[in-house]
Amino acid sequence: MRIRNRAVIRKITRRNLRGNSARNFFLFAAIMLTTFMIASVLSVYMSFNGTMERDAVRRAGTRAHLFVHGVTPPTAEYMKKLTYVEDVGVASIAAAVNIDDTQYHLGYCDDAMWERLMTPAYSNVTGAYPVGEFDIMLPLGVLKGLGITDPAPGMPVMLEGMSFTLSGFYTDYQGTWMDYRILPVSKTFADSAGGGAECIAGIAFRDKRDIYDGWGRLNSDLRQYTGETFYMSVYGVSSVSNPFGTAAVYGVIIAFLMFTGFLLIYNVMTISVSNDVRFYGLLKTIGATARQLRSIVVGQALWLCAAAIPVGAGLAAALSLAVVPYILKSYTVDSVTSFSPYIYLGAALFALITALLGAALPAWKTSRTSPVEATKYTGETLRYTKKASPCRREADKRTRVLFPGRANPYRMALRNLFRNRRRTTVVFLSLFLGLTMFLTVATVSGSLDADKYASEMENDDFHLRYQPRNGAMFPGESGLAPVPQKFDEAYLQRLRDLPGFISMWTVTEAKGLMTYTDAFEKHLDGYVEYILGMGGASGFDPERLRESLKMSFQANIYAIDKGDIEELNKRLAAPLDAEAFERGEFVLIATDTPEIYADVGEVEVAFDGGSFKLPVMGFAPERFKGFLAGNVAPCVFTSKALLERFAEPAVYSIGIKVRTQSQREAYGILSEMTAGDGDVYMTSRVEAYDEVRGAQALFWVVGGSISGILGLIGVLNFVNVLTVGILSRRRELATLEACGMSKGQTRRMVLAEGIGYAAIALLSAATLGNAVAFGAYSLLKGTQGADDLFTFAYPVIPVAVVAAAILLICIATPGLAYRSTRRATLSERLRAAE
Amino acid sequence: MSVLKTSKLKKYYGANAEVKAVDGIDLRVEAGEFVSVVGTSGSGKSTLLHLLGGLDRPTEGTVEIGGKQIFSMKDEELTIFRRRNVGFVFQSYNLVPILSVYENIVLPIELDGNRVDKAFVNGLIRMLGVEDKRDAMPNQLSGGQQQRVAIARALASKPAIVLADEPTGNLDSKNGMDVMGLLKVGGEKYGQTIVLITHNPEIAQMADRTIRIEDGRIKGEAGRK
Repeated sequence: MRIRNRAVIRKITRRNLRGNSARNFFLFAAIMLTTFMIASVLSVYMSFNGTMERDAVRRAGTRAHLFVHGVTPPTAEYMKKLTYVEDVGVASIAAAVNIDDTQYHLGYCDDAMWERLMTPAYSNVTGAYPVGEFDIMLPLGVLKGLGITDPAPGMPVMLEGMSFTLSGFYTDYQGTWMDYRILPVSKTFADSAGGGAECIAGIAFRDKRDIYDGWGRLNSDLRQYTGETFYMSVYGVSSVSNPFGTAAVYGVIIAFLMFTGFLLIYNVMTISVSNDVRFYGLLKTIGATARQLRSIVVGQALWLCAAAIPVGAGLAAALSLAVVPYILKSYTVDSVTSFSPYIYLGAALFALITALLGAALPAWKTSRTSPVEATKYTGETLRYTKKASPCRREADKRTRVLFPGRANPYRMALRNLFRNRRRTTVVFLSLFLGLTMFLTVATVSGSLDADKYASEMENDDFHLRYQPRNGAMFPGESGLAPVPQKFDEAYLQRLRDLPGFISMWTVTEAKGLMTYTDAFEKHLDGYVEYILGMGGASGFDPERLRESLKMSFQANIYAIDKGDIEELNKRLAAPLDAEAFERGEFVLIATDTPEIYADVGEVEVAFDGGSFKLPVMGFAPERFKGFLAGNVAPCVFTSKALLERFAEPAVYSIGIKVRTQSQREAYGILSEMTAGDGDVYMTSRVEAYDEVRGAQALFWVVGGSISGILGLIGVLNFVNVLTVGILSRRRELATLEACGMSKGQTRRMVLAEGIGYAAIALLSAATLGNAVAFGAYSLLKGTQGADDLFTFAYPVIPVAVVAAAILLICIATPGLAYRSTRRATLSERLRAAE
Repeated sequence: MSVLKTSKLKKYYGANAEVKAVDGIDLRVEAGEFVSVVGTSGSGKSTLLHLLGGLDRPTEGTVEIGGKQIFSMKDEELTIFRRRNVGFVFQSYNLVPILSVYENIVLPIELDGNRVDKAFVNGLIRMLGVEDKRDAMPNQLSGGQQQRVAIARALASKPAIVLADEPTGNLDSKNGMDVMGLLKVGGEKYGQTIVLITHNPEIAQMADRTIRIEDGRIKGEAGRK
């Protein structure tokens, strides 16, 4: 027969909950902080993924994963029915136009193409899709190229002599990924211009993790359906580059947060249950079953979850508005802040699991309470053996040297410190985790060396590189007219006029075809492997690929000055003959892996205006003159005089040195000079420095927040244990006073307990915690490319501040708790305990 | 000669003194005397005992121990005075759980920074029959054993007065009588004055004088002498 006792259990649960306000505060804080941190971490994770995916779409210029060229309406309809295809959009290309040396295509996009496959790659979409015959939508970049900086729908625009009406505009982010850069026009325009000559279908697959799989399936299905082979171009990217790795990192962080939350909840619940053991014993005596006792304990945790989880989730939601964009600032200017309900449901679930786990063990202990034991329970768990072990006697003697007198408050404090070992362990563990996390964050962040990174990354204060957007730096390239020399004498003079200017060098470039010899075999092997390793190239035959690479064994030929060789000589064991280099008697290969080219005795390079065959007399580091674009063949350094004999070199890059105090000013001027100039790419020490400082700040905010919360949970645990430890010893302290222990002696004892806790926590953090922090630092420094980022720096000031704060808390808490016990008179305290 | 003397001792509770726990008690206890205080629950026995030991301050009146007005002392001074002159035995033993039996017994002496008179303490331990529990911790003792240790602690510092608040309240009758016997013998042996609170008329009769309290006032006295 089912007994209806749920109501009474609920009543007891609620009453017990009401009677434990101090405990509730700690539990509420623990659950709330756990929810808050998990929700924040999930929010950053999902926002980061959302931002990454959006930016990937923006870079691709479309949400479509691939384009099928030359489709017919029935083929498009067929593709829409394929189960693994999510979206099919069709664009009809009407005409090609050239704007600012870049080719665009006027095309009509159907709804699916425009709304679902194109628009997600754009922002600031204003106006409406073209409807009228000569309506057009244009990206803001194209409008700028046409001289329109303040566009408005309805405005007339001219494109290659054709007059259009601007129906809308948008910001696009695409680089040179797509074969077609479509400018949307109306269906009428496309039809009247003989549209349909080229119909392209954009395809988005359902499974975004491996679009190459979708590509293969579509290819075979279309061949089966039409009997034809379609040209397909893949632009889209798989949803997240390494979803498992990223999720694992976040998973570890969440598990860590759950564990810390668990420690506090478990500890607070255990203490509370221990204090109420007489009460539970009484309930058991009068007939409460083990299950009912468990439900009373767990029920209290659930009530507190109901209150704390919404608060934690709400705080996380509010904070993510401010913090997520800041965290992702270093990655993108306009991050996506995710408010997915999954974040909050997930955080609530994790926090609930943590709270239930934390309450489960104390609940189980409660259910096993023996009514007889419970009535005898005094709350003082001691595990001393009847006879002191030799070890303990020895320890006793040692302690007495330090604190002579058995009733010395310090000696009594030492015993109190370890009277409940499990509780003490949980507290230390909790505090240790917070401190270790803080130490790690502070050490890693403090060791990020912006100056070192800036000087390692950039030999010069500023580096300008000429990189034409259409790729046509030299005649005959890409079938387009070369862009006139950007770095002409006037440009160089402006650079010399920069404030604080010290010196400048230039590197010139001419394209040359290097004759392949077997000495390059090792290099080519690596190159073939690299190409085959790239997605989408798996179908290539390695041998054919090798042959084709040999055919286009083009090298980027860079020319440097005699002074550069003299500079290089400072780093070389066997100096090079700078005069002979200047005369064009040998060349250098720019590489960081000279062992691959050890057998290359000489190189033969052919230019339009002739060719040379010269010995390779040495190697220069790849970034000797800043970043240099590579090609199939390794880059070659010649003298400027030699290069001018065979080609018309252009200035490719410039390195500038200015006085330290003028760097920011010069940076401002150079930024202005290069702003909006897509052909010039600038790097600078100032940017490298700022980049590291940004990363440092980011690391502090994220790591500092996590370690701050963990530390707070640790401190809460600590404060709770110390306070409860003293409050539950009210009778004992009153007895000591009744026996003649003075107020000062008692206070010294409880203060010594606090200092003892602090000393052990700080000592373990100073040893093991520092070891973990140093390990994390070494691990990060050891990762590829990170060596230049770090110089070990111990965070003395933050550590001193935290240590002082911990010490202060440890001293203040027992003092305050003891003072609160003294509000009642000694007589009342003794009587209350009776 | 009176070792303990109270004059118009009052302890009222509440804003308007609604509860008169002790209401004008004048009491004299001679040196070496064993006095029991009896009364119903809530009659003010324990409050009186706490006032006598300086554990609580009175609303009015004085307590004099060995000719010294204890409530004219400051807190710290009173504590030191108490540990040198007053020993307490409580109903629920109140041993310090982190200290062994021996350590509990010598606690008041060591708190006072004095050397332990080992012969005296060993004698006490022998007399109270807890020699084999010397190194045990309080939670390893039975109730009767714990109370014996509490008595030893009360006697160890050779106080002028031992105040015992229902020391047999948590013990069975045999253990209760044993403990009382030890308390009485100890008091006589070391010439200590004992004031004991009890409900038990049998135990009260073991005292030299019994005082009955009702509503915070002395309602009668009976003496064997």
